[in-house]
Amino acid sequence: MECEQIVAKAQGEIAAAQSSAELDGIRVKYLGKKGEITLLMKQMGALSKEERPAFGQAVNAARKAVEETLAQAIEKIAKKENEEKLAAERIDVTLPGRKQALGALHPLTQVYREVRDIFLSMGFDVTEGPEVELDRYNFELLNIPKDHPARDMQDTFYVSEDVVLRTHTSPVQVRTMLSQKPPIRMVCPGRVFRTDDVDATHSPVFMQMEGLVVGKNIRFSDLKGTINTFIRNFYGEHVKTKFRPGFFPFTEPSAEVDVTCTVCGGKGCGACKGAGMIEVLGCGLVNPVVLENCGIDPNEYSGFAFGLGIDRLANTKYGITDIRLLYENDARFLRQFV
Amino acid sequence: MLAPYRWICDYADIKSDPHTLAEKMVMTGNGVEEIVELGKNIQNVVVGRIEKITKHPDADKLQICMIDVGDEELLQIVTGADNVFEGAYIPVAKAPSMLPAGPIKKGKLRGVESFGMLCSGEELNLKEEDYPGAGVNGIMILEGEPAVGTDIRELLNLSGTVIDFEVGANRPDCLSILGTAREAAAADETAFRLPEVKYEEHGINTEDLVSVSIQAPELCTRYIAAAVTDVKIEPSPEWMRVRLREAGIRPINNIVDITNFVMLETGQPMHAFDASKIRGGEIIVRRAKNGEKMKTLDDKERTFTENMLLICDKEGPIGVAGVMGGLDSEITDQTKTVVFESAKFMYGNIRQTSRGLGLATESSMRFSKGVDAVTTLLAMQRALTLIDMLGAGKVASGMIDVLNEDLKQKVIKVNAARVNAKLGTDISAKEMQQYLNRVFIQTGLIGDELVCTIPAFRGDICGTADIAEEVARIYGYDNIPETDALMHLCRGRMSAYEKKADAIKDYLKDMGFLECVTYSFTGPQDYAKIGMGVPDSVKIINPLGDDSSLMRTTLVPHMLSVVALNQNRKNENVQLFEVSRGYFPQDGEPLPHEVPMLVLAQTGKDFFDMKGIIENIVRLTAGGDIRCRRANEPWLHPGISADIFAGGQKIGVMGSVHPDTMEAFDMPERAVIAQIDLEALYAIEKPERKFHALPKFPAATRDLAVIVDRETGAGDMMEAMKKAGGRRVEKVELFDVFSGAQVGEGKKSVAYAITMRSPEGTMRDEEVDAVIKKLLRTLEKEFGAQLRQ
Repeated sequence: MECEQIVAKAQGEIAAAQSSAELDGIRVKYLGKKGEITLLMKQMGALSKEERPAFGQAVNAARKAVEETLAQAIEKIAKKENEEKLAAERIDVTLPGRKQALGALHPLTQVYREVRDIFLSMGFDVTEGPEVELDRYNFELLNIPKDHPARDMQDTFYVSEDVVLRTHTSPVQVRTMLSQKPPIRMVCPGRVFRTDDVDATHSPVFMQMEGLVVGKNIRFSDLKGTINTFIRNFYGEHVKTKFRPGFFPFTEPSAEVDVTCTVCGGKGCGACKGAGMIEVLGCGLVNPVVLENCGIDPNEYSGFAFGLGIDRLANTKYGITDIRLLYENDARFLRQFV
Repeated sequence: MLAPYRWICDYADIKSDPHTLAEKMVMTGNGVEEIVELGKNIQNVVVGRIEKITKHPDADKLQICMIDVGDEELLQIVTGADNVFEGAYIPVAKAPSMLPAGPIKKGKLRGVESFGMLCSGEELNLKEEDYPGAGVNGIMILEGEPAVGTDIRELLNLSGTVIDFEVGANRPDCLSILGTAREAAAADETAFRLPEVKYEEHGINTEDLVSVSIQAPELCTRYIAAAVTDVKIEPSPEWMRVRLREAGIRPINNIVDITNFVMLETGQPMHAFDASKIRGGEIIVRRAKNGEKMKTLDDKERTFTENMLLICDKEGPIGVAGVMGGLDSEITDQTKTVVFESAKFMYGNIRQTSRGLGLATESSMRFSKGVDAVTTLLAMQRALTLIDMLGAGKVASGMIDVLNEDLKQKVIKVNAARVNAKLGTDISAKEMQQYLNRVFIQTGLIGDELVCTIPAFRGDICGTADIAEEVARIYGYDNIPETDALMHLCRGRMSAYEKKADAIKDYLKDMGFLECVTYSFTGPQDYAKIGMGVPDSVKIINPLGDDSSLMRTTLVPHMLSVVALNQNRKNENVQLFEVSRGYFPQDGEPLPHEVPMLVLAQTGKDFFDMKGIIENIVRLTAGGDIRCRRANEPWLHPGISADIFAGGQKIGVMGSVHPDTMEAFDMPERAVIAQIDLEALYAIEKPERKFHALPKFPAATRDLAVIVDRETGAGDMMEAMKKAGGRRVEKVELFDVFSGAQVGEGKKSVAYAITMRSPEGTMRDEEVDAVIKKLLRTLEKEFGAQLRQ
């Protein structure tokens, strides 16, 4: 049988083929326009009417058999070729990635934003005010008259008899109370100034954030609740706080707040001078004299205020031991806060 | 305030050890700076007796001493001192031991072993005034026959615990041991007692020796003078010297020591005049005449103004009230009669005087914070008691007491419910009464009303808030609950300014910039370095230095310093920015206008990198494009700098740093810098964003190349084409600029890719050609451009 021989030959060649190009050649050789099987079909005309159906069936079977074998082979070889191609494209995945240098916000900005966002989430407005400020707003309305002993607490840069570089952001609170009716719930961030010579722990310019709440029936216990909520958000749930009596002319009663030392976790270390706690903020109920000075009736309203140093928080958070690094702006320092 | 623990215990039955006491006092509002253990730097130093002295065989100036220190064997020590003798009792540092100057180890001196050192007074940090015999040049010879082997700290009273308290400006009464002891007694829940007042008066009357007239009663509300005759100036006894030394004051002689002792004890500064130096026998308290002069105790001539209060006699000043005595009326070894002064001067005035003279003393510090008129008397009584006790002189009869103040005690009535309302507590009125009594506010109870009698030394207590604080600090801040009054809904808001500043900072951070923070101060030098005169500025009266005497009007000099620092430290390719304020004085306004500004700098990049950044900042915050015009700033390269405009306003300036400026700032490499006025930028309202349908039809792109004069702005031509092209021109991109012989002298070739699109359908070639022709005509007409062939 001619057909069977052709099929056997074709299948032999297919099995021996190594590439999809070779297979394509085999396809043309047997199944193409002038292929051996195609040509067989053309011989049909020379056959008798009786012989034709059987022959036709035989040729078609042969064609089908070759086609099937070929299809299987193509699939197999294509798979192999694909694998080879992928293998050839292998790369060293341990080589470093291609990247643009990352920038960084200043550590003071990062800490400030963290603090700010906690207070925003508690419903505090963020308000700014002038850095060059009236003595009246920085001191007098805050219950610190001229020549009052409390003036010695804050060494002040003077621009004139009546104008100072603000020593805290409290004047923004004063401005808010003078212009806005209670209830008030605000924080005021910004630069403040004291006549301290620059050294590892002092800077004449630093960043502070103060807060103020004024409303009806605001109590010391509310202050504790608010401050503790902030501290747990900022430092973590595990941190303990300690409220100590303190003194500020604009609050009464006043408190200073310590938290578990972030460096040693409370065991005592150099950073906390062995105390296991570090002081992070000052606060208190707004002195009725201050409310009255700012046009708020202390019999109707009460409030609390607090203030914290962003520099101090940043230093304790990142373990920065020399405050000068914050203002030197060496790229190698700043890149540590990416 | 240095408070020796032992001294506190003289007036309060303290049960706690110093550390526990300090902790308790912190929790009741008395801040502690530190707890100092005295004598810690003296270890293993004992009393020894020299049994035998022999010459050193190889050194003329050395002697070998055999010393009994209470051990089985005698200790051999080589000394170079020549005042030692057999039988002398001396302090012996037994090797190994510790002295304030360092450790002592055994060693060999010229071949002879020495097992320690004999100590001089100086080596134990003692002066003759601290301990007789301590001042001699040589080894300190101890008095009497102390037991050998005794720890020298015990013998000389060198150890003790001192608590350094932080005293708030509201508690001047705690600038004394008595005030501290009151607080200690309250914290430790124990008894307190005032020191004894007991002295005998003798025949002569104070009034016969001196008279007092107060000519400025508004500045001196009580003046007490008392005389002591037959004064014997000598060292004060050891117990007093130890107390003073522990509190940080050097003993001098009995009279001076008594004034210092009383000041520390009561908080009331005292002064002692030599009565023979009070000319005319009259003390006059009056304001100075302008320009009046006197030499103070520190031997400096001082000039006074009429706001300063002086203590004078008939002929002139003998002391600056509350600050320092005059040199001429000082106590000397010849003083026979002393007049003590105990007075209350007004705090604001003393503070001004002390500042005005640049003279701060223990006395002025206390007066500046305020003394009370009741303690003024107690102090005088104590001084006289001590005179009697020490046998330092005879107390004259009667004292002169000029009082211009009502000594009636203030009574404050407070309802317990109001205290609880303030604190958020539920403390009973009875409990509050106990707490207040514990802090020496005598309190009665009428129903729920606390009737509080405020002692004179608590001038800080004026109203309910103060009473609430006293209750709270004894009740314990830790016992106050946590509550939340802020439950009602409310939203926290940020200003639009701050949101925009956040957006700019975040963008720059994402672009690889590092944020900087620099000081707000500047000085004339900074302006000189950028080639500018000093602009009208906010000036600081008391700056830290000339270079920080002005509030800055530009952020540029500080940024250039930061760039230089990074370049010199080999930090390459840095991109930096700062957002801060400039301060501009305003006519007729006390406060300056404060303008938020942004400064940017890049190294390893060029003008157009920076321009791209600024274009994006403007798109982010204001929307729209910027325009640049050649700038004329002395600190920028004249050819590579531009003024930046947005929304028709100048918003900033940018460019490459001028080589002269680079030199002034010691910048080894080039840098591009820009400064943006954020107030001007924020003032541009960003248009609301509106949706535009995505294009349905394909775009057509054509290139257009023209030749123009070299000075023609390629960006200006782009703007003009966009304007002329109308809606059909979607995008104009610059893709090539060059100049050279082929385009002609003074000319340049500029090539653009123009993208056009129609919303109605795919643009036909004729339509595209028409647009390009229109654009070319615009360039020809406005810029004299020629189509490049």
